[in-house]
Amino acid sequence: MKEITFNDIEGKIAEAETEGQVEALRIEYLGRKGSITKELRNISELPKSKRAREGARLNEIKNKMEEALSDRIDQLRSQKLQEESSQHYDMTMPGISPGIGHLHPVEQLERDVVELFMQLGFEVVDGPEIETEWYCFEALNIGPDHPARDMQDTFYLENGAVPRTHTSSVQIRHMENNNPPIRVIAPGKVYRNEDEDATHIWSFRQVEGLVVDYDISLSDLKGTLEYMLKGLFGEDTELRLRSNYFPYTEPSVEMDASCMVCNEASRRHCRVCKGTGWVELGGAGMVHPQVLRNVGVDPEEYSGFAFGFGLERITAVKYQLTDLRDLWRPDIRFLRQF
Amino acid sequence: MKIVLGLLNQLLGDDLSVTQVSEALERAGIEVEGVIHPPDFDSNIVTATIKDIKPHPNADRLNIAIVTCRDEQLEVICGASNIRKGQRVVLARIGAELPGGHKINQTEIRGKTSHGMICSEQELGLGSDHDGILELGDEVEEGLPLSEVYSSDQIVIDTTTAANRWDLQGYRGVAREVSAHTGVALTFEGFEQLLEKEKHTDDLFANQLQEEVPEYCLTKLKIKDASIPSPSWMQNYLRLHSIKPVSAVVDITNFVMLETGQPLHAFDAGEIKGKVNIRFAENEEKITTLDGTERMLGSSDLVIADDKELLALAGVMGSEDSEITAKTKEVLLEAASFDSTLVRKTAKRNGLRSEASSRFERGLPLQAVKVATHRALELLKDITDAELVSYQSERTAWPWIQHVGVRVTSLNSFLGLELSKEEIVESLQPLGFDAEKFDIKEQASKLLDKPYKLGARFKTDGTDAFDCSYLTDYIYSLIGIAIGHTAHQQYENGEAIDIENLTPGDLLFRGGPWVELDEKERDGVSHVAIYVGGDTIIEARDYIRREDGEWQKLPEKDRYVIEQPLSAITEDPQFMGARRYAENLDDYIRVTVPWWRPDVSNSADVYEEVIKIVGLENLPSTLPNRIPTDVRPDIKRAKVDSLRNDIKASGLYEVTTYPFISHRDIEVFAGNTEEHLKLKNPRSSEQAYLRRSLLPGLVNSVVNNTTIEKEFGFFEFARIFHAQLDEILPEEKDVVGIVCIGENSLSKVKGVLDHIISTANLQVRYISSDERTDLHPGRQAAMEVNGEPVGLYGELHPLIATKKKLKNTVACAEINLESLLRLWSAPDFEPIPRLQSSYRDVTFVAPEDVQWQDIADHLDRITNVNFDFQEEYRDKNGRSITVNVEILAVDKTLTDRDIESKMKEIFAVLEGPIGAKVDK
Repeated sequence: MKEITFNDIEGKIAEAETEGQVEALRIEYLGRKGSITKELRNISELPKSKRAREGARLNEIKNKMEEALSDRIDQLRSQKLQEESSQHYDMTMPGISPGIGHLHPVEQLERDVVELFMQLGFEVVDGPEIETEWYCFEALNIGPDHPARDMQDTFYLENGAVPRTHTSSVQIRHMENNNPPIRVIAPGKVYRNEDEDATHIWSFRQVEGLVVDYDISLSDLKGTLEYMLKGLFGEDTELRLRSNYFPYTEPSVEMDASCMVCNEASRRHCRVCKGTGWVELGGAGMVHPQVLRNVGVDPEEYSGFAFGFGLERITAVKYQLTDLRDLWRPDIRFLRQF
Repeated sequence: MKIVLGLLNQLLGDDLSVTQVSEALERAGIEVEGVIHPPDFDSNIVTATIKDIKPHPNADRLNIAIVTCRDEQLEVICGASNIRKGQRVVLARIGAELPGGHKINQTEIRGKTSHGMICSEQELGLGSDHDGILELGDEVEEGLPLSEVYSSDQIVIDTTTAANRWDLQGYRGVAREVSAHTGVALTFEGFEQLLEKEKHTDDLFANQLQEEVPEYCLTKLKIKDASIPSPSWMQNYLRLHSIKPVSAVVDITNFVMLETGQPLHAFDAGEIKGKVNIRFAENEEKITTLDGTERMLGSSDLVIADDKELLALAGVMGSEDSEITAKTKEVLLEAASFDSTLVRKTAKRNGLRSEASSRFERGLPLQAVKVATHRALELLKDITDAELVSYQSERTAWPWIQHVGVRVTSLNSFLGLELSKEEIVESLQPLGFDAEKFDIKEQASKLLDKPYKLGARFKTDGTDAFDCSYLTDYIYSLIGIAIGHTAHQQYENGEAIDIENLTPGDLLFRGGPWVELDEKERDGVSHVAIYVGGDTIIEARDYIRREDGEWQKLPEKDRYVIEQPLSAITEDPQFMGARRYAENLDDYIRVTVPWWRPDVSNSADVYEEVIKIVGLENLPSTLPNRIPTDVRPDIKRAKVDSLRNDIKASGLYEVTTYPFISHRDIEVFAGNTEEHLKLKNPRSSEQAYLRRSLLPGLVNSVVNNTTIEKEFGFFEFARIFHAQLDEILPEEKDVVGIVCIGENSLSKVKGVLDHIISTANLQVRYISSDERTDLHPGRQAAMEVNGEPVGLYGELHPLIATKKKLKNTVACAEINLESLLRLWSAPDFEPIPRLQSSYRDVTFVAPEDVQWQDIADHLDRITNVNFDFQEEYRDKNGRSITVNVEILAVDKTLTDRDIESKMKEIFAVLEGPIGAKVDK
């Protein structure tokens, strides 16, 4: 049998092109059944005189080989890295989707709004979507002659119940059962008998807020609304209040936010604020004394503010939606963008 | 209301810019919808008439309009959908240049020549409407250059006015607001008395409805020539308000309505037989209104009639018979206060909302009648040389005067401001509010020497006469405090005060002669006086106590409001004590609301006026500073959020669907319309019923998306509505709806449910069912927790799938959110094993009629073993199920023997109660 020399092995190692081939060589020579291992095991069978020399020789080959193997592996690895680095790998290819779905943008916004108010200590309350005329209108000082009571503007069930036209009905229900101090927020769906177009939908979500306590002031309302706008649209957002009229608040105001889409330069063509710099968001005011009396709260002792705004409208502003109806007519192409 | 800037400026005696006016309006709470600046129009832009319309032979959406313009006749191609024969429109002739710079050339459109263009509001720069062509109205003459209809100084500000403000439906009301917010003075306050007393008569009308028509005024005028037109400036203003100019007399009534807000009507006096009657219509009485329509009336319609026939539907519209014509010699000018609700109902019932009715609907104060009559008289005299023949004016109620007491501290605390008394008074004055610091002595002193009249009250006596309790009641009414009408009530209502602690405003009571009092009121309190400070009281006095101690009634000339020393009452043997009605009267401002503001009736209303003048931008921003003390922790919200996130993480899209569904869908989904609540006034038959389930809406949404993706799922958190016996309101349930489409959709839905259930840690049992008619009868299961139903899932009924043209399998679930949240529990924690477990796969062929739930239940009973479902497959041997078994090492390392014995136990269960064939 030919004596194994390191030269033969060295040549083979140099020829190995993959880590696998290198490993195969290691096993061939140094594995449990490898030839060098075998010879080392057989050394005891040699005459004593040869044992020391042969042992030293084999161990030297073994050590050199191990070194050469590990060098070759390093070499191959660095070669591979070099090759990979010189190849084009498209890091921009779409990833493998984990198949996670999408939340509805308005529901997401509702959560954002609720969380903001929870920070201020507001409790989230709820009320029925189908209401009596008392809760939807009368208790809110909306008399039988008010145009809002018209079939043109309001849906009625055959039995006279009303799909609520606003979440303000929750104010009444809550105040009937709770004494001041009151600090609540009521998100929910509302229904209006209106024609639909890109900017009007007949059902939408509102958030109603109500605070009643001693010494609640109009400036408290202003500060609260300002806090909300900054929370939703960023610290730089400004609030503008404009006088208005609602039967259930006095004074009544309209709340506008400074346009979060455009700046001075791009204002002229801004679709969101129509060049005015302001976006109308909802109505608010100090709870009308008669409304307080209707629920047994003494307006001489307590005062309160209330506000309400539509979430679809704010969603439309936030994402610059072109058609509000998309929010109520499920379409995957729309939903997967949120 | 539309406001023409020029006309408004006339009432302001100034030349305010559109920006100044718009800003003032916004501050006043009058919303500016838009501003229309009429541009300088090219002379080739003219008014024209659509004589005929024929379809374009080569284009479906286009028409060829035959347009006339004086003697010319042109063919113009038009695509507007609102085009109609006989319409007055704006024609841009060939060669015209539109305000935007666009030039009109002769063009050919699909083989037909268009000789000009019919313009929209937007193309003319008159507004933003570009949906159709601008319609001018018949009152505009044909063939006029448009620049004569709209001139560039006629800037129009379009506003929305609050439903509670009658005054803003007239230029004067708007001018008052602009004046208050700009400081520019008004030109129209007060009027010259033109109705000479000697011309008053009683034979013009008989008002049978004193309650419903509290003020009615007819003025008879001789007119030289009723055919003369009104001046062109007036005609232009009317046109800008879409009111057709008719003749000077009619135009003046309309113009005065625009100016004052009070509608007027003019009758031809020659056509009236006998007296004018104000009454209710008789049932089925008929009238032909000015618009040429015959109308059948009912007994709650207010009408104006002569002895023979109906002249007008009061406050809504006149009749044809009595209208002013060229032949009219004498005019009867009507101004009245009609009950707002009756007018509204009549207008609504007859589908006839007119300029007049929409103003009456808001409720006009009585004072407006005189104001409008005088303004009309003035104009009629100037323009038509009208001569007053006679007039009759009746008022059956006292015009209401509203006093409000404003407390400075309350106002500041309500608004969050720190205004002084003077600042508040100053802010109210520009709006016409009479405001001053309330000084009880000063107020009472103003009434000194007024005569005494027993039983005097505001309705009948105003401030002409007083008795003792009306004097005190009246003074307190000035600051909106109701203390009671009689001395007895006042004694009962006040807070008792020791005589040593008297402050101005306290009332002092004594007994006395009771002769004039009702029997029931003779309980001791006979007289009241008001303490005004120092040693002084003021009282309305009719008796004095003589030196002999007896009461003496004063002669009439000595009965009046008088100042007396305090001791006159406190030292009287029948003195009963002092009462107080308000803490700190010094804090009060007395505010008297001007007659044109009936919308202001309480202190919050006044606060609003103050903040408008101060400016909302000057209001500080604060936060409510008291946190509620009994906060209920919200334990549901976080759970709902985690549910939503779980379902979303299963790859489903959250959607929102309409809660109103169609009759057809109820039937398709095998429901019963009788069980569904129905809308009285649905927008369409598609949305006529309240849903009892989320599935129809969700399935329809799936149908609408099948062309976009093949396999997907939707979910929704929303409400369903179940009618309740004997209740108006339905039961509303919050539910979670899930729907998936695709080959394995049933497993997919089950997977989502498993996921939710493990989050909520519920012990759910699935019970095969065939109850839901909208689900596959063999593939549906109800979900129960401890016997309580919490939801269901299943495959959509194949018949419904077919009707909905669904090719792929659709599976659905509906879960009751309330139950889920209530039954929610924390996960059952098991410590992780310290010793190495052993794992084995076990495959067995299970009988078809055994459910996985039963297999799992049995396996779960074996101790120290955990199971995991791996897979199910079917081949010639039947239904093979593979589970992965984890054998737990309890207190020592597992030996082969331990494993062997556990496996035997498992095999025994599988082969025994389950009846499976185990592949060992």
